[in-house]
Amino acid sequence: MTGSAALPGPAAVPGRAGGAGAGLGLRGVGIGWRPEISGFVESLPELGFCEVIAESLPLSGPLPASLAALRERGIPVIPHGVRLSLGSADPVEPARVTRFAAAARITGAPVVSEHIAFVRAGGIEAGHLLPVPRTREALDALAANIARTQAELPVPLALEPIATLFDWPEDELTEADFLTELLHRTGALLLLDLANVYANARNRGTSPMDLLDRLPLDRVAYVHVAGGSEHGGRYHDTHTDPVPAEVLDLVTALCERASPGIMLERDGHYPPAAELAAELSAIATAAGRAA
Amino acid sequence: MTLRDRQEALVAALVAGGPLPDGFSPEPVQATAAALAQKRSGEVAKAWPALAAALGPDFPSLFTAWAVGRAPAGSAADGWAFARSLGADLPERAAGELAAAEVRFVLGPAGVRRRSGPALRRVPGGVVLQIFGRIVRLGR
Amino acid sequence: MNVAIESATWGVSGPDFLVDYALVAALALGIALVLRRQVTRGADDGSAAVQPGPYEVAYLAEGPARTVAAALSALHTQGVITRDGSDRLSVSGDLPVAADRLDRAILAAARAGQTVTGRDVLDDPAVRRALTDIEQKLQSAELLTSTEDRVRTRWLALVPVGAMIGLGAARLLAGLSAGHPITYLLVLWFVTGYLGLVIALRLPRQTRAGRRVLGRLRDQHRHLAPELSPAWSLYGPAGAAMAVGLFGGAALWAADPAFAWGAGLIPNRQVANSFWSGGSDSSSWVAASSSSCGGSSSSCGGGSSCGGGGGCGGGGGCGG
Repeated sequence: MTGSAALPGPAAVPGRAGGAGAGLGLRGVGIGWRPEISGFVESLPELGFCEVIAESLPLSGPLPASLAALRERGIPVIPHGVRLSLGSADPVEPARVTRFAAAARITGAPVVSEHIAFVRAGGIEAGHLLPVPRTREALDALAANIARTQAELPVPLALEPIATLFDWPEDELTEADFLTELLHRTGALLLLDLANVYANARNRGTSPMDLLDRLPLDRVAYVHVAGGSEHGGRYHDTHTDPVPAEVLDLVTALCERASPGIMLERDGHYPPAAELAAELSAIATAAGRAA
Repeated sequence: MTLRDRQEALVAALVAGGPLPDGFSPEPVQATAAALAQKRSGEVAKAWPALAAALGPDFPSLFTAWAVGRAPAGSAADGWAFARSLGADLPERAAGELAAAEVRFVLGPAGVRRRSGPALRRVPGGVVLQIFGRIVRLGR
Repeated sequence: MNVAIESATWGVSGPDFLVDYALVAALALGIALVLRRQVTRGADDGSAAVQPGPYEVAYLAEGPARTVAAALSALHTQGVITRDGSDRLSVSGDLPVAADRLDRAILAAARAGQTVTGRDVLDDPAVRRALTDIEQKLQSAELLTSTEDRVRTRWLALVPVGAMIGLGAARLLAGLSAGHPITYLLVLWFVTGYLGLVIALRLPRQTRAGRRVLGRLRDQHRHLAPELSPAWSLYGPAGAAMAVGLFGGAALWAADPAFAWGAGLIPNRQVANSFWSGGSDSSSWVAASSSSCGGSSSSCGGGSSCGGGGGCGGGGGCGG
């Protein structure tokens, strides 16, 4: 049945003079809402906020009953886009932007989010988020697509750097510099995925803490964490495994400097409700340990 | 080469059997391609539960082998084309699902669209009929 | 004038009899309806407090087959029962101490037969006894109508309905032998007779309280509806059993098609129906055709941004 564990609420993550995301009202620990686990999400007594895949929402009202119930309780529901392809060299498709903006309106969200990635090219769908080259040309393309999107959005946009197994040979900038420049040019917020920070650093053989230190943390709107596993010597950010301890350490390190809302992304191989609730508690503990 | 050309070449290499674009290290790109193929097969299994269940543990490898070099057309269309490609090897239970799809939708070059009129398909031991959007299986 | 009076069957003209018969039929059907309401009234509002478990819910919603399906789903989710490659079930673990009587009976039946089908389980005498227990519990809670009540009500309601049908039939025969037109009466007789027999004979299994309880539980457990593909691994055995109890075969199909076949709970012929009537999200099919979302219909949409259910075991760029 829908078990639930007591999650330390907002009080457990002490408030600090926050950065750009402080006014959004995203506090405590949240989870990515998925239809498969909607009953579990609703059963969490201390749920801080949640995210819904923007493309899964109806174009015009009403919200799925479960999300409507969460909104009723005053819990923010944030549309998370996955198919805009902001990183494509081609202009973002207007119909997708319209749909994304509609998702922001029907959820009444304080912020919406998308990825720094492209998902299609030459009429072929890749089926997942792919990294853009860290070049001036890609920065221009991204900034143009982000501006087109922001023009239609009723609320701020947060951008999420993705996890990738490969880099482009033409990369000119570091990940931190590329991101800082992009946020500076677009005025967008940062959706910081600590699991992606961990995955990229581990697969490049660098230190995740160093990468975290160089990111523009004053721009953070909220934070993702997720689990992954290793296959063939590479760490895959699967979202179907438990969150590794190293990612929780990043949560603690981050929360020494800021106090953003943090949410778990879980997309399959769901564990029993009690285990998933314990994972949320562990995230809250990691976030509060800095206090 | 423009950014557009490079992105096209990379996507083609990852999901449509294209050559590795210049300058990329092969192993990480291959690992990504393998992960994308696995994800694609998982999505087809979701859209075609009877097909995936009937093929059981063999489904991912059979589908992935078929999908090599074929650009993704969406999980509905991919599963459909894959099921047809099995011909006589299509398990009986999956044949019912394929027939149910065929009486309800049309697989065209632009993807899957809803059929406007009624339709009928033979399946082993019976027929599947669609009329006014309702599906009836007659026979076994 | 004389001719007309002489020729009227029983001295009542055709149009007059039609009106009279309509009144008689209304009275007979009214009595039958009142009797029917008596039997389905069940417990008064106090029963709103009744909180039946998953197996009771399954029995209340449909009966023995769904109850066994719910129990097998729970046992499968716990790893106590597994399906082998040839679509038969076998025992693969032990029951928790607090197992239900039905669980124990099913397991004993499965152990005795080495491997079994869902049908074998349903036919097992001990399983039948456990099911009868559930039925009696539901009847005493007045969520299900009792067999005796149904039989008694059937006979009582057949009195006015039978009289109505008999009267109409006699008049029809008389009219027919006298060569009078009988079309209107025949139609009225047939329609009222059919209605009357349905009202009198097809008494609902569920009381109104039973239907209310089911409606309330479906709402309360809407997260288990098959169109959401609820994660049974998360909701556990009780969730799996409740999903099947409330939503039937479509829930089982959505969660585990292979097991649904293996358990013999979904006949082959229903595969098409199960798939298209809610077991699967057919809306994603239509979305796949719309030009704005061309290409893979749910690569990252559809609520499973990373290929739920194992689609992304080792997803490379799963950097969502």
